[in-house]
Amino acid sequence: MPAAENTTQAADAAPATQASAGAPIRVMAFALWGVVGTLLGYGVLQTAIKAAALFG
Amino acid sequence: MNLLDRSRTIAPAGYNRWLVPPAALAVHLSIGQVYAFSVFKNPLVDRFDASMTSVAIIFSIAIVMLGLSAAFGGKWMERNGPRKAMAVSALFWVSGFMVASVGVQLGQLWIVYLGYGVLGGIGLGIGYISPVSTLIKWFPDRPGLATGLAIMGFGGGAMVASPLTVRLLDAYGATPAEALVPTMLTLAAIYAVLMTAGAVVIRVPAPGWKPEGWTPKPKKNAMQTQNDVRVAKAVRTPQFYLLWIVLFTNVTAGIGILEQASPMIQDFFTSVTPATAAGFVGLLSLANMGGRVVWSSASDALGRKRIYVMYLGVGALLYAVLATTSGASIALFVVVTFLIVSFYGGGFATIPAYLKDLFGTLEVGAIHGRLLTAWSAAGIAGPLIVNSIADAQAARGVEGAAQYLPSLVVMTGVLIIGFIANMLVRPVDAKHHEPTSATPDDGPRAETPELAAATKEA
Repeated sequence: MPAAENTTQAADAAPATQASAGAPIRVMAFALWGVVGTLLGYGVLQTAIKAAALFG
Repeated sequence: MNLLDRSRTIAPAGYNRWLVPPAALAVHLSIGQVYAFSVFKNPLVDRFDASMTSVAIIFSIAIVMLGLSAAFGGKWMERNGPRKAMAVSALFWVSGFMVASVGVQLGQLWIVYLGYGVLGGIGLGIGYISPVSTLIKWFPDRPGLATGLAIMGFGGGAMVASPLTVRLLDAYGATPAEALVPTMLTLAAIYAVLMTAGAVVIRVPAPGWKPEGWTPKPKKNAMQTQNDVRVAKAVRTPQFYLLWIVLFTNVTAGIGILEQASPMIQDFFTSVTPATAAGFVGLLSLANMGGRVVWSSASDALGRKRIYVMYLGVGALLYAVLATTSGASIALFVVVTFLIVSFYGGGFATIPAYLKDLFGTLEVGAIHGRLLTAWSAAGIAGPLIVNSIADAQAARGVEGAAQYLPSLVVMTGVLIIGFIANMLVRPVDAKHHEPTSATPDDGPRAETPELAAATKEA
């Protein structure tokens, strides 16, 4: 997807406080994608193995 | 508590919005465990020497508490932001497991009701609604995709928890009943870490933010409003009650299949073994999860009203096909039930985007919370309809596929009611809209929670 679509643009009225979203948070978010993706993959695989009995 | 405040979660300029969905998925994957509760049923029956019904009450309490906490906690969640809501959800969900494990250890079933049912149920309700409105605000151009991603996690949570719980029950004790306490504590620890990570990562967009290059295209009388309606006014509109009926009928019809999937396929086709039937249940779980993300994403292109025409109209036709061609072919049966359950999942995932279209983003989480009472009601009505019909048929000596015919016909009727309700949905009257600031470039609205928080801090 185009980079422009993924990023924020400066808001007209900046809020009084903005959260820290430095490198550690971005790395943690990427890592969390990995964790939830792995968990979902595990769940889908286990369910697909179970579902395979239907076609066995 | 400052770290949990909404103002501490406002994303800086340049923040990648694709870093937000994993936070939502982390929470929904955790609370989605509730649909794997059946794995605990037999060990709990053994541990307490109780009836199946006594143990099933734990799940029922959790689902009722889900509806109540989502309904009453939605407004609080909108005011306090997603991080505090996720933290509170984690606290209740994890402590629910811990209190339940104390109940198991002491042999007191009422403590399990209190723990998993009441405390866990509150965690479920707050957790379910906590990331939804945030994602809608990050993806105003594709709200169906956003809500589909989050709510897919809820469907996936059971798929993860079910095999994991079976392994833990096998690993921790000589019998599953003996392994209940360490299994519950292990799950509590996993969910504590996962949900905390979600709460840390979650970010809300700055006031007035919109995706670069995207401009909303307001159309007169279009179903997608650019205005906001507060929850107090939304619940006084006919649109809210029509969508309540839509969700209620969609969920009730889905439960009609899910509640009796395993015995149903075995009664329709005598060649189907219990192991094959378990495979069929697994396939329906995939349909439920896949429908959430696929159909909800498709609603961004098709429109919310049209996709519900499909869920409810095509769903009714599919139920009629099941009723008329029952037992003709296993392949046809599997395909039809797969589609029905995928529509059930899609209906859950698309409803927040439908609410956003009609009521705007300002308090969409709170409105969604109120609407989830339809889920609780369907969770009671669906099994009641299905089981009472099945019992009546059994009492009359009807066996095989014929015993399901009345419930298939009833579910077709239920879906037609939902179809009519959906067709009656019109844009919300402008008198309910919040006053907006006169910024022609769709700038910040007059009274968004973000602005209120910023003003308060200033």
